[in-house]
Amino acid sequence: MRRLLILGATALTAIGSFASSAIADVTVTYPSGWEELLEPAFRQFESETGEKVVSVVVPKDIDQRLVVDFAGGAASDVVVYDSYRTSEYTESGYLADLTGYVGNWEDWPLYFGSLKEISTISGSVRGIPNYTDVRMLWYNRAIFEQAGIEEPWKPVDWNEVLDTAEKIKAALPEIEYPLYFPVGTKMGEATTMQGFYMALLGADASEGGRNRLRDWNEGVWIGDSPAIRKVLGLYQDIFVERGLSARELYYTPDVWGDMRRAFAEGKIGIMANGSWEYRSVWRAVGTEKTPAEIDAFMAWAPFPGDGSEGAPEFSNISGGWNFGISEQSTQKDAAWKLIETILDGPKYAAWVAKQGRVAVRRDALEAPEYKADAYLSSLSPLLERTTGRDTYPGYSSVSAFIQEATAAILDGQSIDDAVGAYRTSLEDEFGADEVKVIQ
Amino acid sequence: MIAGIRPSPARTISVNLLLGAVIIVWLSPMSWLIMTSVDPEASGSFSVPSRISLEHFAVVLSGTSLRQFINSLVIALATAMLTTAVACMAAYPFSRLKIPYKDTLLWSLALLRILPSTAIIIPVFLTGRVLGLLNAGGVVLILTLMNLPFAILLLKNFFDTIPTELEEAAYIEGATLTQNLLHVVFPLSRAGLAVIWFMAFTSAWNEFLFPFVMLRSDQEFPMAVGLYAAFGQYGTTDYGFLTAYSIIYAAPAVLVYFLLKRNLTTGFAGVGVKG
Amino acid sequence: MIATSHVWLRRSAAPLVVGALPAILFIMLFGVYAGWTIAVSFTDLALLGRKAIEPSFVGFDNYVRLVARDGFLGAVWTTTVFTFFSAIVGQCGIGFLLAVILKGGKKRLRGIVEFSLLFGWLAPDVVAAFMWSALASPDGLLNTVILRPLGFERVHLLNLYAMELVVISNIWKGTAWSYLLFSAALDTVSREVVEAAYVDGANAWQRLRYVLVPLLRPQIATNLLLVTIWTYAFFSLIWALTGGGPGRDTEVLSIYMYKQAFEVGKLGYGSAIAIAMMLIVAGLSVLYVRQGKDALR
Repeated sequence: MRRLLILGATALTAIGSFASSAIADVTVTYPSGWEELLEPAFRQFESETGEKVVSVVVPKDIDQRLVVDFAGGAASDVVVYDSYRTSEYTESGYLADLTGYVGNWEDWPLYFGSLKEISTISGSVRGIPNYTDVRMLWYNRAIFEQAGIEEPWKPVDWNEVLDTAEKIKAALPEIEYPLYFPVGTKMGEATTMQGFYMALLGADASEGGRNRLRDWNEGVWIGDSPAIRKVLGLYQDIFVERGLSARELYYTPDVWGDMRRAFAEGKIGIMANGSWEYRSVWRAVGTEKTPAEIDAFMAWAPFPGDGSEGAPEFSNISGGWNFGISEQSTQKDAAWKLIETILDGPKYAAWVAKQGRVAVRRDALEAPEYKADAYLSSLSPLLERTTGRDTYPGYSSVSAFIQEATAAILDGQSIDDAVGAYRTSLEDEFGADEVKVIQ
Repeated sequence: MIAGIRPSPARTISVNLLLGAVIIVWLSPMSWLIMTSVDPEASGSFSVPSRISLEHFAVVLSGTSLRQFINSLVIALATAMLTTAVACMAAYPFSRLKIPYKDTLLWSLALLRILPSTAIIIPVFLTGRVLGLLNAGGVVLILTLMNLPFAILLLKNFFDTIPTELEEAAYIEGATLTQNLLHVVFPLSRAGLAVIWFMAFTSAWNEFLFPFVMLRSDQEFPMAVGLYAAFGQYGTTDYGFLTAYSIIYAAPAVLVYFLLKRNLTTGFAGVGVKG
Repeated sequence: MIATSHVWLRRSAAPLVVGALPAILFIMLFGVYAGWTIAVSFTDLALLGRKAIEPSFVGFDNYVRLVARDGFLGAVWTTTVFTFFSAIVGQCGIGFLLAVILKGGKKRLRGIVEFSLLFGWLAPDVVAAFMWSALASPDGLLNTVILRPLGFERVHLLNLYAMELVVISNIWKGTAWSYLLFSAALDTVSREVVEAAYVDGANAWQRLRYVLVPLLRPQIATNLLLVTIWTYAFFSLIWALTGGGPGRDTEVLSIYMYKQAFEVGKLGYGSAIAIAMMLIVAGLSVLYVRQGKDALR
C-alpha cells in the first residue's frame, strides 16, 4: 500500500507538471499533410517576431477537433478549416472578421472572386482560401484499352457512363469496381461532393434550385425533387440493379488509402473523384511517378449531366480549405501576421504546384512551377464553370442526411422511402416551412 | 476438468484438435500484421515478404512515434495508479459497511459507463478548460473518472471475498485502521488491485477521443492518436510503418499482462464473485 | 456510529469517508455530466450554427423521434443481435467452455491458448480493425490461403457478411476476459465435487449442466451482466472496421449516436440516444437479476 501511495503521489505530481503552455504563444491547428508549407513559415515568423508558434497537426477528423475547440472556447489563434463550414462557424460566432486585415493586404486582390465569395459572409471576410479543387471522372487507361473502349473518353450522359462500366464488367469480370462512386456515411463529405452533388447538378435545369439542395431565392432547403430522385436512382443502378461496384471499399478501416491503392493496382475502372487524386493516388501507394507516367496510367473526363432537357452538359463543384482566425483569439494581429507569412507568394506557388492542388490566386498561376504543370493547366475549363456547395448554415446536417439516403439505397430501400426519410430529417431539423418540394 | 479425469484417447485427440483450431483462429489475424511489418516493400495486401527487415521498427522507435509512445506510457501509468488508489479507498468501505441498496447503487454507477464518451465530451472539455486541465493531467483525470464505476464495483466484489477475521484479529492486537489496511487488507488484495490496475492501464492506453480533443499540442499526442497519421484522409498510407507501429503499440499491454500474470489470475476469481 | 458488524470499523467513520472522498467527487462529477446529457436531450442543441449557441427547449421531441423516425429502432435491434451473439453466446459461452476444457489440461497448450486469447483482448481496437479487415479482404488471408486454393470463388466478406464479421471480431476480442474470469472461478470449485459426479456416472454434459453451472452461477450471472453492459456500448472496433456499414448493416447504437451527434451535429438528439441506451441496459440488468433470483429459488 505504501508503494501504491507513493505511486499515486507521483501520478499527481506528473499531472501538475503538465501545466498548459504559455498563453503568449501563437497557436495553430491544421491537418497533417500541410507541414511543408507551414513549418518553414513558423520558423520564419518566430525569428522575425520572437514569438513562439505552437501547432496541433491533426491526423484525422479535424472538423470534430475544431468544433469542440470552438464550442469549449479553446480554439487556436489560427485555424485551418474546410471552406464549406465558413457560414456555420460564422453563424456560431467562431470566426473573426478579417475584412480589416485583407483591406490592407496587397496580395488580397490576387485572389479569385468566386473563392472570396465563399469565404465572405454578409459582407465580412471570414477566411483566406488556400487551395481549391475540381471534380471529375478518372479512368484507368489500361483497363479501357483491354475492354476496347475508345479514348479519349468523353461520356455525354449518365447512361454512357453506366454502359461503359457495364462494358468493363463484361470484358474484365475480375474488376470489382468498374465504377467507383462514393456512397454511404463513412466517406463523409466525399459522398456528398464527389458523388451525389456532382450528379445532382447535372440532373436538371438550374432554375429554382431544381438541381441543388437549396433554393437560394426562396431561402429553403429542397426536401424532394425530380433531380434528387434521379440521383438516388443512379445509386440504385450502380449498386443494386446493375452491380457496377462492390461495396467494400467504401467501408474499410482506411477508406482513403484503400481506394487509392485499389485504383493504382488497376482494380477500379472509372472513379468519381477529385483533381487532387492525380498526385494523391501515387503518394498513397508510395510510388514516385513522372507526369508522363501518370498520364499514361490515368485520364479524366468531365462528369456529364443526365442528358435531360435544360440540364448542364457537364457538372463540376469546387471545395477547398481556408485559413481563419478564431474570434476567441486574444492576439489576432499576431495571428494575421502569421497567415501573411505563410502565404508568401512564391513559396505558396511552389507548394501548391507540388501538391497537385488548384491554386487560388493569380500570381500562383503565373509562377513557373505551376505553369510547367500541364495537368494543372488542363483543369482550367472545369474551373471556369465551377460552382460551390449550398454552404448555408445547416449544410453539414443536410449533407449528412444525403449520405444517409445513399446508404439507405445501398441497403435496398426504395427511392420513395429514402427520399421520404430525407425530407422528414430536413423538416425535423429546420421546420416544415423551411423545406420545399419540387414536383 | 471434463477432459481432466481419465479421458479416453479419442477424446484427448479431439480436444487437442479443438484447441489447435482455437489457437489458429485467434492468431491468424496477427499474420498480416507481422508479415507486413517486416516487409520492406509492404503494400498492404496479404503477401509473404520476399525479404525480411526491421527497418519499419527502427523508424517507429525514433522521433515522433517514440515520443508518442512515451506520452502513452505516462498517461496510461498515471491513469492506472490513480484509478486503483481512488477505487480501493472507496471500495473498501463499500464492502465492509452496511450501506442500504449498495449493490443496486454500484450497478447503477456501472450504467453511467454506458454513456458514450462522445455524449459527454462537450461538458468534459468545458470543465477541463475552466480548471486549466486541457493537458495530459486532465486526460488522466477524465480517464480515471471513466474507469471508476467498474473499478469500484469489481474491487468491492473482491474485498467481499477476503475473510474479515484477520482484520478483526489485527484490531484486537491494537492495529489502527491505517495499519490494518496497509498490512492486512491490501496485501491480501494484491490480485484484485492488479486486475483493476491492469484494466485501467489498457483502457487508457487504448483511448483516442479524450487525448485527441483535450491536448493542446501534437507533441503531447499519445500513440492512439498518432496512429492515424500513418493512414487516412490527410496522410498517406504507409503499411510497413503502420503495422510496425501497431505491434509496438500493442506490445506494452501484453508485456504488462505477463508481468502481472500470477496476480491477475487469482484476481479474476475475486472480481466476478457476486451479482 | 456506522452500521457494521465489524468492531474495528465502528470508530473509523471519519478516515473511511475521507478516503472515499476522491471517488465520491469523481462520481459526482460523472453525475453532473450525466445530468448535462439528460438536460441536453430535451433541447435542440447543435454542434454548429445558431442552435449551437442558442439552443431551445423541445420537450420530449427527441424521444418521440427515437421511435417515430428510422434509425434508432433498427440500431437497437442491431445492437441486441450483436450483443447476444458476440457477448453472451460468443465471449461467455466460448470463454466458459475453454475454461472448463483447459482446466487440468497440459500446461504448455494452456499457455499458448491463453496467449492467443489475450492478444485479441489487448490488441488496440484500431489495430484489431486493420487485422480483421486484412484477414477478410478479397486479397486477404482467408481468400488467398484458404478459400481460393480450395477452389472457391473470392468472397467479399466485408461486403456480404459484415455483421458476422464484427460479431466474430468482438468474440475474438472479448473472450479472454470471460475465460480468465471463469478459469479463476473454476479454481474455487473443489475437485471432489466433480469427481463424485464422475463416479456417479454423469457424462461430460451432465457434469457441466448439473454440477459446474450451478456451482458457478454467481460468477456467470455477474459476468453476463458485465459483458452485456460493455458490449451494448461497444464502439471503436466496429467504428474502425466498418463505420456501421455497408449501408446500415452494422450500425449499433453507439455508432448511431456518434453519427447523429457529430456528423449530423444534433447533440440534443444524440444525447437522447445515449440516455435511451442507458435505460435499455438498465432494463436488461433488472431482467438478468430477476432471472438469476428465480433460478436460485
